This record gives sequence, structure tokens and C-alpha cells, in this order.
Amino acid sequence: MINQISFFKPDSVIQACEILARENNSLPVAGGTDLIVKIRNGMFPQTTAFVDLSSLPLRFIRETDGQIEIGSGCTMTEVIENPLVCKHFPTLTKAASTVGALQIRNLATIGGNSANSSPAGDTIPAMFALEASIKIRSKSGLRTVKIDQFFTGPGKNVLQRGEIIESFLLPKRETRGVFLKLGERKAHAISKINLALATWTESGKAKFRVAMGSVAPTVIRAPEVEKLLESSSQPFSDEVIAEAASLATKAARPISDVRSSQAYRKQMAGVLMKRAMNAF
Amino acid sequence: MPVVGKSVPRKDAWDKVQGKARYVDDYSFSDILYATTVRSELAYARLNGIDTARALSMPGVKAVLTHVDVQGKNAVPLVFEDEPFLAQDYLRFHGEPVALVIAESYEEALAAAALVKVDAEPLKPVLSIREAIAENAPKIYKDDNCFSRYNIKKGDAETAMKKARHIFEREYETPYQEHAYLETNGVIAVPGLEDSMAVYGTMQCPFYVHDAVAQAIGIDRNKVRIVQTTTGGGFGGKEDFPSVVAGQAAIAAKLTGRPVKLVYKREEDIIASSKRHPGLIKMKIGTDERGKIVAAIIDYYIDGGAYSTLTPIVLWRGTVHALGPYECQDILIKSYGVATNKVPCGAYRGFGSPQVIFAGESIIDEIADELKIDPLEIRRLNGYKVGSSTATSQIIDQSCGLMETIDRAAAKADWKSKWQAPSSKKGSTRTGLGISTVYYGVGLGAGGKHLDRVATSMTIMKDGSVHCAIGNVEMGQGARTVLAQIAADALGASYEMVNVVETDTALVPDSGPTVASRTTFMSGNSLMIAAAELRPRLLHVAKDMLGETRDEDVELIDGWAFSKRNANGQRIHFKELAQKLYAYRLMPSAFGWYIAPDSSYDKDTGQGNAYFVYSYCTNIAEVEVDMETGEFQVKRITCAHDMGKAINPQQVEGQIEGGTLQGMGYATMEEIRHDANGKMLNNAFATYILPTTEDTPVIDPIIVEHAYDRGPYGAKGFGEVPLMGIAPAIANAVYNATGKRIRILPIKPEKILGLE
Repeated sequence: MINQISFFKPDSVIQACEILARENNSLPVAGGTDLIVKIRNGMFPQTTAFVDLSSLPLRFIRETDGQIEIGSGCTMTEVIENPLVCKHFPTLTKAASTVGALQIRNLATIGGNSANSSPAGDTIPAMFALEASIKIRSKSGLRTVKIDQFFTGPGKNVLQRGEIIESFLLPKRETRGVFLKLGERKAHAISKINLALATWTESGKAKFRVAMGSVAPTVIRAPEVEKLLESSSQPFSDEVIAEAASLATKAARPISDVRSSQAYRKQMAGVLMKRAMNAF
Repeated sequence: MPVVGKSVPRKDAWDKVQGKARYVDDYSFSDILYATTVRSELAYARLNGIDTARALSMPGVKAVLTHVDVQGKNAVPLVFEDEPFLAQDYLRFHGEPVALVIAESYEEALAAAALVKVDAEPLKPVLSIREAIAENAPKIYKDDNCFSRYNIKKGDAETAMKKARHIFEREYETPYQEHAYLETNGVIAVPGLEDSMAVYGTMQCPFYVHDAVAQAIGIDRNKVRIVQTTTGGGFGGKEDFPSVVAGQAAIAAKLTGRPVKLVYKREEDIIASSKRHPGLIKMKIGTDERGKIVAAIIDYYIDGGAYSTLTPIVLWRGTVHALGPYECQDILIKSYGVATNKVPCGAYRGFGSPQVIFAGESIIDEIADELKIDPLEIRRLNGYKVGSSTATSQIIDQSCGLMETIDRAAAKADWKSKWQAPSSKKGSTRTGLGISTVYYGVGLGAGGKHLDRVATSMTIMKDGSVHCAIGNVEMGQGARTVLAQIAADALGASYEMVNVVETDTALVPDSGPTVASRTTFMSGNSLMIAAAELRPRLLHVAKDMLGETRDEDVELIDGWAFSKRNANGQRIHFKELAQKLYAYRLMPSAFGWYIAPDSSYDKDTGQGNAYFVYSYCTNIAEVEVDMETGEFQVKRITCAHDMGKAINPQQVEGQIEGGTLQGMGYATMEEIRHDANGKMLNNAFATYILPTTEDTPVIDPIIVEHAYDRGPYGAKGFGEVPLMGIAPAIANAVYNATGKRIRILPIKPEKILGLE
């Protein structure tokens, strides 16, 4: 039997969810920058249907009750160029601008980056640092999951059959932040390790969120670092910076793989932490 | 010389920049079939059987071929003929072709290929040089796992070593390198009348392919025609491997009686096609108190992979060049091309040299460092000059610009004021300078001298345009342009009127391979021979047209003939000369047949005139290292090259820029990895990391011209040289910046920090 693959182009998000629920072994496609390569290399041999999400009304960035909502269909380029995102979430702007190369950023979507659930996905630590929630749509309704509850392992997440990411909800606040990444070359590189730091003021107090990628089966936060930073006075002393770096190294539990080694990643978690703090 | 030495535009530039150039996958034939390859999943196994029944029953499938379907001899004709077109008896590497599925569409072929069942019994594979040479290693090739070995014995190295003031002993390792040409391997085999076979495809060596197709389907060579299509890069990767692809496609085309297209996906190209050999180099160098080399003992091993392909000749070149361009009277070099159960390695720009150059140029830097000599001065002290004796006791009698390349690169890179010892470096960002010097034997040398001849067919058309068929290919390196420049000046035609066409085995006899930086020199010389035969005929008709009495009173330059005594008087255009040539019924065609200058090699001692001439270069790399992350940026590479004569300076600079960047990839990021069972892990560009434009340093090319008296207009050949010495220049610069010596390529941040 030759593999006949159906291609669906639904008219609405609900219809997309219905098709995905109905068709065994169907896969949603947004930008396709990861998926098409995987399919071509035979990684999903049972696939019988593609459901194209690219023309659905998922390409929006808007304000809704104290939150900024980013539609999952926005491309990296759309996120990078959006003034709302740029003003409120520089961490995310920076993270999105390091994904792949320009051609990839023009196609790859913000939803796809999380749905793909690579521990190295560059926008994910930024989403962690910005306390994003994920709106998940299915034919039976909507549920919202906090970003740190979404990922369950490398390439794995809580999405069920028939569910798609509709949008990311980010609490609207003026944040500052940095995103740092080490790759195997200067551009078009998958992260060996990445780190996002975001900070904002809440009730007169500085809040900090730190997340790292490629150092664990999923992106992780570094709560001990966050606590330290929130309890220390600014500008940070060299001792605080050193302590934060050491805590980040402790929080990282990476493996060795084709891109880098465990020992290097662990040490770099500290270096990136230090640099992130010095970037203020 | 109206065009030689000028940066005229490339003949193929406009078509390529406009996307008009057609590569093999852009072509089709009516009734065409598509082939795909079933590959071994195992690194080493006994092949018990291949079940093709299910695949054969699939829609669109015309045939499933295995070794039993090979009509001719199931062996790719290279050096030893140990590689089958389709696996037989054993599977010897992960990715080895086992069967071909031929179908009406590529998709149908792919679907059926998944259903071919290979019954194989896994055996324990040998996966590295060290495993292959271990005493108790399983024997996968003859009784020593060794495809070939060489010795070079000059003087008495053991005794000289004992007398040396200082002895340095180090080991170096170099990785695979994938060619990463833009166009993957591919051919279309088209069966013709009277059992003939034509093959169109991307390739460097149409005559190797000619041999392979004739052998694969068992027909005479005069029934086989190989047409090279516009080739999207080769770098050595399309020297031997197209023979495999073309042989397979021809077998399928003969069996089905229909044209068959076999074009590789990138992932299978990486998994199955040849690579640069990984190397292991053990260097022992003795010097006197000033750093003058007095003894050298070198053991050089390369990982040939599962079949010998070009390993014996790759090894020979590396062996000859193992010490680098340094004088020494007492040398012992032993080399080994070993078998492993991995993808067969073959030619890659530099051909067995970059491995030993990395070792040689690193150890000379280590010696300079320990003896507190400027790395540049130790090279001036030991490097070749006219009159030097090489490792094979060849006297360099002319065309040796090494010292000038050192001087000019050093001046341009500001070495004197910038270079400081590593101990003086401080801070979290450190800069470093590193140097390498290289020499390279042009052409096939004594190791391949029986193949070192080329043919040219040159015809003056009735309209004065000139058609040249050559035996070396254009693969992006600029051959058609540079050779048209040589032909134009040699004949007296204008550059615009000369067309050098892509290679077709029906047009010229076997001219050997397009490798070894030999094309400008060899095909250039053969064009000059053909032009020298045609030019007197043109002068003869010009004499009559200009009313002169003797042919020698007439001059013909750049498309115009005129009287020597009246250079500003009447001029006759080449087109009119051509018309008269035909009216006179003079033969408008000539054949050039050029045989390389002699070379020699003694099998037992390795002594002789290994190559007829050498090219030289000096590279100076400047790096900036982040001491916290180990990340480094190559800021600038200054490259001074002596290629005899730059026929087209812009193309020379292009070669320098491209080769330098390719060398930087080899030095800093490129690496093929296998798992414990010998399965290749990174057969895609997401995981096989190449440099991008963002990584590209400033590349500063410098042309040095020490003419070779037998070269066309003094040219030697140098296309490979720009890559060859980049890795040690960068490694030496990293050492200079950090004090950390990297002896195993690639140089990675993890290694600089000791966190591998």
C-alpha cells in the first residue's frame, strides 16, 4: 500500500480541532519548519492526514483584560516586529530573533515552537520567564495551562488528540530582560544551552524569573536563583552575582549529546546567569 | 596577453545567478523511471538474503534490483575493485546500497523500498583507526585491516634523532569532513539503440564514470557515453562516488530498457557518499638548539572506511607531504590506510594533506613555543627555498615562492607588531595570531602518473567562434573561464569568441580525473598545444589577406590580425580569417594531447621526484576567544598563495575565500559522529554544522607569482591549497590566545575549556 496522505485546510479553529480528533494519525501543521523535515525523514510513518493551520485566524497579538495574547499562528518575525511585544517583553523579542535563520523565522510559528516541545526551543524559556499560560482549544472547549505545566519531556506535552494551541497569554507588565544562547555557530544554530531572565516591579518590589533550556528534559526554571535575586538589593554585588551563577549551575541537570557535553552545559548555566545579570 | 591575468567575467556566471543553469534533477526524458536505494541498517553483517517480493507487488514498481541483477561485473572500478555496486555476501557499512527499487514515480519507489526485507546476521564492526590497528582486532580486510601502506626513508632518522638536541613527540587527530556541495549526487541513465548507454549527471570524473558504466553493464566503451551536466560543486566528493550512482542507474536502465533517474536526498548523500578520511598522526621531530629540524619520524594513519576506493592514493599524497615544507636530511615516514566498517572515504580538497598539515604545522608551532622562537622565524629557518631537498630527496629547482608568501602574509597581517607570546595574554577576551605554511604537489604526481594526461579538441567555427572540448570538468571552480582565457590568448582569438564546453566522453579521449588542482595546468597546456597547431593556419590566411609574403610577418592578437611592420594599419577580424580558413579548406580543428612532466617514486624507499612542481602558501589567522564560554571568533585570515601565475585574479581570490571558509569549518565545527554500533548520527545539515556567512571572517587574499616554466603562462595549480592549512593556523592562534593546545580537531569551546 502506498501511503496516501490527506491534506485538510479547515475554515475555522473548531473545524481544525474536529478533523484532528476524527482522523487517526493526523498532524497539525503550522510553519512546518520542524515537522516537514521530520516527515521527510520518516519520523511519523503512520501519518495519514495533515491539518493546515496556517490560514486560521491565529495570527494576532492583542490586549485582553490585563493580558497580552499572542496567537499561536504568529510567525517568529511577526512576534519580533510587534511593538506591543517589544515594549512589554523584550526577553521574548530577543529569544524569537535567535530562532533558526531569517527564512525559518518567516515561517516558523510561536505556537509550533512550544508544540514541538524541544528542550532547546528558544522561545520557551522566555515564555517561562514571562509567566505565560497556554490557551488550548478543542472541539469541546477551551482550557488554559500554565507554561510550566505544559511540557512533560523532550518532544512531549499535555496536548491531547484534537487539541491545538490557540494562544499564549502573558500578564501585561513592563518587563525588562535578556535572552542568551550558546550555539554551534553564530547563526542558524540550535541552542547548546539558553537562558531567559525577565524582571518587573510588582507592588514596589522587583520580581525575577529565570529559565534555562537544553539543560534538562524540558525547559526549567531556576527558583533558587529567582529567590536570591528578589531578596538582594540592586545593583547586585559581585557576591550575589557569583551566588546566582552557582545556583544556576546547580539547577542545570543536562546530558551530553551531539551538540555539547554535560560538563560544559553545567558550567555555562552559571556563565550565562552571570552575563544575564550583568546585562542590566 | 590580452586576457590572461585579467579578471574577465565567468562564462557561466549569468546563467547561474539568474537560476537558468540546469542541474541533473532539472532534466527529464520521456518514459523515465525513478530509482531509490535500499541501504544497510547495519555497520557489519553477513548478508543471507534479500526478500523483494512485497516491494515488487507495490503499485508502480517496475523492478527491484540486487547484486544478482548486475549484468557486468559487480565491482566499482577504482584502484582495487573491492566495492560492489550492490552489496553481495556482506554488508560493510551503515548506509551501504543493498537494492534499488525502480518505479514510475519517486514516491512509489520510496514506498516500496520500505518493504524490501534484508536478511542479515550482525557481526561485530570495527569502528575506528585505533580499533582497526589493535593487535587482537577482528579482521575485516585481509589479515591486517590495511588497504595500503607506504614508507619514506631518507637518510637515517633513528640515528639522527638520537643526536638531536631537542625531541618533540605528539599525537594529533583529525575528523571526517563532508563535502556539502549544494547539488547532491545524481544521474540519469538513458538506454539507446544497439545496446548503447548514455549517462547524464553531476560529476568530477566522467572518465571514471565511463569505466564504471561499461563495467557495470558489461558493454564496450564505444557504446557508453557520459555527459557531465552543470555540476553544483564537487570538492573531491564527486571524484569516485558518481561511479557508484551511475553504475547502478545504468544497471537499472539496461534491465528495464527505459531511462532511470537516480538522484540522492541530502541525508542519503551524507550517509553514503565519500568523506575526508579521519586521520591519526604521530609526530616525532628532533631539532638542533636553534630549532632547525634534524630528524623526523612520522606515523600516519587514515580511516578508509569499508572499501578502499581512493584510499591508496589519498594516503600516498599525505605520506609524501607529511613533514610539511621543511628541509630535513633524515626522515622516516610510515603510513597506513586502514579498513573500518564505516562509510568509505575518498577525495576531499587537499586529498590526505590537511590531516598531516594539521599535525605538522601544530608541532612546529609547539617547537617554536618551547624553544621560544617566533613561529614565523622557525618557518623561515626550516622552510623550502629554491635548492631545498624534499622528504623524497627531490630538489626544488624553480617556482618556489614560500618565503615570499611568509613575508607578504606577515606584512599584511601586521605580525611583527601584533604577535605576542601566550604568557602575556590576560583578561576574559583574548586575541591570538597563528600561522601555517603549506606546500602542495600539483597534479597526480608519481603515484598516479599513468593517468596524468589530458586531451583537448579545438575547432574554429565558420563564424570565427572557437569551440573547445576538454577532458577536465567545470564544477564551479571556474575551469571553463580560465581555460577559455588561455585558449584565447594562445590562439589569438578574443575571450568572448572562445567557448569551452562541459565534458562529454564522446568528444575527447580519457583525460584522467578533474582533481589534484591539475585542470588549469593540464588542460591549459593541452589547449596551448591545439592552439599552436591552428595558429599557423590562421597566420597563413592572414598573410594573404594583408598582402604580406611570409607568415611570420603577421601578428594575431585578441581577435585581430595585422602586419607586424604596420601595427596601426589594416586589421582583419578573426571572423574573416575563419571564413578564409574554410575557403582554403585548411583543417579548422586540432587535437591537444598533453602529458604531465615526469615524476618518479621508488616503492621501497619512497624517494624520487614525487611531483613535477609545488604550490605554496602561508595563512595567518587572528582569533578572539571568550575565556568564560570558550567560544571564539575567527576575525581575519590572511592568505598568501604562490600559484605560479593567476590566470584570472578574481577567480583566484574566489578560490582562496571559498577554500579558507571550508578550512575554517573543518577546523572549528564540522564532525561526523557514529553511535556504538556504527550508525551515522548526523546526516543532515541541522546536525552536521557548517559555517554560515555570520561566521565568516575577513579573508585577505594575496597573490604571489613565482612562474613555473612548463605551466601555461607560468601557472601551476592551487585550487585545493586554500583549505589545507587553515585548521592549524586557527589552532595555533587559539593556543596563542589561550595557552590551550588543541590536538584533536575540531576546535570547540568545550575543548578549550577542558569540558568535553
